[in-house]
Amino acid sequence: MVSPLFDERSLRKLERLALVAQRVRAGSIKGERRSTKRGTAVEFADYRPYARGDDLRRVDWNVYARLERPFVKLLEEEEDLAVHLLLDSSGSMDWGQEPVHKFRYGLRLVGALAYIGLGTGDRVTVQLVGTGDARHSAVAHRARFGPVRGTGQIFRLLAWLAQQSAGGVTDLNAALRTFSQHGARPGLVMLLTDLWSPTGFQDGVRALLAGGHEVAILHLLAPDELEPPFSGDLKLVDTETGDAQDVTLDRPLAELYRRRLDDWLHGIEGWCHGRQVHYVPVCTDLPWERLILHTLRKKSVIR
Amino acid sequence: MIGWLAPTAIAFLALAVPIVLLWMLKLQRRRETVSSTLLWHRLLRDREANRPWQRLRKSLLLFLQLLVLLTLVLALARPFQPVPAVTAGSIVVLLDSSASMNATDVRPNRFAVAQEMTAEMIRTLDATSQMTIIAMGNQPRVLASATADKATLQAAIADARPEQGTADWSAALALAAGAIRQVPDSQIVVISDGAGFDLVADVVALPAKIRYLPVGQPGPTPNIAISALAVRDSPVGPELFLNLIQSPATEPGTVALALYLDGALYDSRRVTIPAGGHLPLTWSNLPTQTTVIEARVRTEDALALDNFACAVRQATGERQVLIVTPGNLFLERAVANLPATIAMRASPDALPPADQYDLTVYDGTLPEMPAATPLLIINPPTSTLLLPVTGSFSDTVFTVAASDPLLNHVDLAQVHVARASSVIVSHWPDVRELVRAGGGPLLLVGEPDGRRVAVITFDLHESDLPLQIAFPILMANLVEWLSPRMPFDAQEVLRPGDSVELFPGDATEALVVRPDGTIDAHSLAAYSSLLVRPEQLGVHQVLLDGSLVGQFAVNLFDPAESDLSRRESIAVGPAEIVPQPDQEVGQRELWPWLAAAALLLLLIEWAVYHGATAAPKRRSGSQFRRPL
Repeated sequence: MVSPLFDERSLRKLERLALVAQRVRAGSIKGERRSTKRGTAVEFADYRPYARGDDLRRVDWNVYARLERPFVKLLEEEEDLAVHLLLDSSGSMDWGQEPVHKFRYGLRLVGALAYIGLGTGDRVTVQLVGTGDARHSAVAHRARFGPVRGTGQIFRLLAWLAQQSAGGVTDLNAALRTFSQHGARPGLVMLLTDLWSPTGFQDGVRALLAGGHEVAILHLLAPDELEPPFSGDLKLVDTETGDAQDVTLDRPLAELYRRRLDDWLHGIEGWCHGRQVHYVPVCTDLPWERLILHTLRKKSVIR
Repeated sequence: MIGWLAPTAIAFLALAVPIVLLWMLKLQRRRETVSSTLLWHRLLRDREANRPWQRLRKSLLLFLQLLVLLTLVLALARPFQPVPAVTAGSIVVLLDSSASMNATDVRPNRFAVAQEMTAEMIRTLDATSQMTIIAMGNQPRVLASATADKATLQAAIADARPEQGTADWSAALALAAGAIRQVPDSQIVVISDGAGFDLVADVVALPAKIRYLPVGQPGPTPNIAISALAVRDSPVGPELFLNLIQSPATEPGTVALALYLDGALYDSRRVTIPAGGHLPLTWSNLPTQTTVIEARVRTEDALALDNFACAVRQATGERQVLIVTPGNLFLERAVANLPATIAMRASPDALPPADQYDLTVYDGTLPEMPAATPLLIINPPTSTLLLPVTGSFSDTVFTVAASDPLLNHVDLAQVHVARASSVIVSHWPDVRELVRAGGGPLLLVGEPDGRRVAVITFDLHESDLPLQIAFPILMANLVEWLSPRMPFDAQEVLRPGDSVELFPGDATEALVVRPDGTIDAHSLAAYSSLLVRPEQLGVHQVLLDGSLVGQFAVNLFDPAESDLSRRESIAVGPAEIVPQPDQEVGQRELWPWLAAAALLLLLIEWAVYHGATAAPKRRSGSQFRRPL
């Protein structure tokens, strides 16, 4: 039986996170953007419903008097950030046993990050990358949640997340390009993926950067991907593509695997560093709340 | 040139076929699902460059397995290399284990070198040969008898130890002659330094070729020895005589000599042994209570055994017995034939002073005032204060024979007595009636007036006892009880292997404490004797039922053994035997090397296999392991 995505303990962790989230904001992009739009700093932009945690001084009391519902006045200078949480849902993400299962770990991370985003008034979109072709709007619609704003959406989001599953073959580049081309509002794109994509991910990330997004890659790998637990004469079958590969895994080859894995990870890190892309390698045996509260803040993905 | 003792075993090489067939069978791979084979594809692309090595490594296991099989099969085929050998065929090795073989002129000592020479002969023994090993000590011992089993022979030679005495060459050669008598074309190999061999006179005719392998440094080896140490009592106190010898005797030699009396240093001096090789020394007026005398020469010569000598002062073991009899041939013969006994006969009319004797025997006579020694009274004729006689009786059928140690081995069943005297001994303390007839006691012992007295109440001439085998035994037991001997009778000069006879009297346990502290224990019947053969040099202590009764000294005192010059030839009978180069062809078997190589290859194969499949130890993905 599959354990619930967010059980009692996880939900309590999320609540604790919400308290912390008062001091945490998604993305570091905001300050930069504000400096470029200095001339229009105090212009009115929009209203949005009051959410718990909003500064009471920003409630438009006139509107409240008229509609008897609290609305917060948004100024252009404080434009709410668009946070896009892209979760790779390819077959390779369906890997590992609870609690280190990559896709479910990703779902929990998405839930937590969305909670933070919603709690700080950001516009949050969750998109599953790779489930079918995102260009077909119907499919894309099913694979997307949001954009939403305000903490009131969180339980809907969690319910939606609980229904998602991973599978199928993904061309990560194509999926990211499609996402970028469909005119998503520029903002913070957090891509949660294992990067096991034969065609690579670089073109897709370039497209995101070209679309004005700030990109953070959370690279999820399960412990047994870092350290293959088997040896001997094997036929390795790719769970995503079904490709088979004959391998005699002996000590030298295991050594070689470790070296190649290290090279690959270093390569990704170097590539991201050169393009101002946040890169956070995550082993799924790391508790997700620790990842949010410590690692991502340390890496300036959130602040 | 390699020969084979079991060439048919090479057929086992056919086992290579199933091994190769097993390797040719298609490898069954285990299916493992992985999240992605992306990295594995790249890996195998990398491995393409290493493909030849990988193939080789894979076939390395096969190669090693075939090599293991090959070495094992070759070992089974028992290859050998022909090597020059001392001898071949049926071989009797006479291994000198006498004192001189302890010499250290060759390292570690001559005996160890001789052992190694024998071991090498065993190694080159061909498959058809067999070997007997006899250690020549003061008694020749067969270490291994006519066997071709090299392991048995090697074990026997490894267990052999040098002795401290003189080799009994004649006995060893006689034993060797007996060993080869059955086997034609036998050879005798003498491994020795030759010391003492030239003294062998009565060599049996040996029906075999004799080879001599000399041991030791060629030429003379300097050695200083104590060749004699004797102590004797004189009116002014004990006198000590000591003789030092040196070999070779060409030049004078100076050594430090130390003399210990009962463990305390008595004299220490530097002495010079003149050219000629002998230096006699004497000490007189030694302390009268001295018992154990030890002499040590401090020198760094090649043989340490003869740098020490010891002597023990002790009373003589003989006893003097006075037989007062009008004439009794049986009695006189029986007493005179007892060991360590000097019998004197006296007539009842002319009695010599009896106090210098250890025992007085009165046969058919008993004076009113008998001698103040232990007494054996036979057929008391008249009543005396000591032994009242009330008459005689003729009811002499034995009714009781006590189970007494004095009657050990004495069978009285066939003894008949015509008449016996009735005596009264009720006033004697500790009286025991050993044999009783219907009319009264026939044999009794007691201890009146603080001395031991035994009484035979009948005339030996009126009995058939003297004609029985029981008579000398009974006399020996009675005399032994009346006048116990010294517990042992050690000759003045004892060498290793000489026998010492112990007379334990009524003791039942005898212990001999050797100089090195080890104990030779014997349990024995009363009034029996025991022969011990000390093997070690030094002072031995004799304990009977736990109490020290005496000591005896064992010394080498053998100029032939102390002369360490290696003899370049030995004379056996009329023949002069000189060392000859190896003439025979032996076989050095190679299978132990092959078996060891097979084991080594097996270990390598195991290591290669496990090295190839062992799970990696270090976790990869160091980025994932950084403190996050």
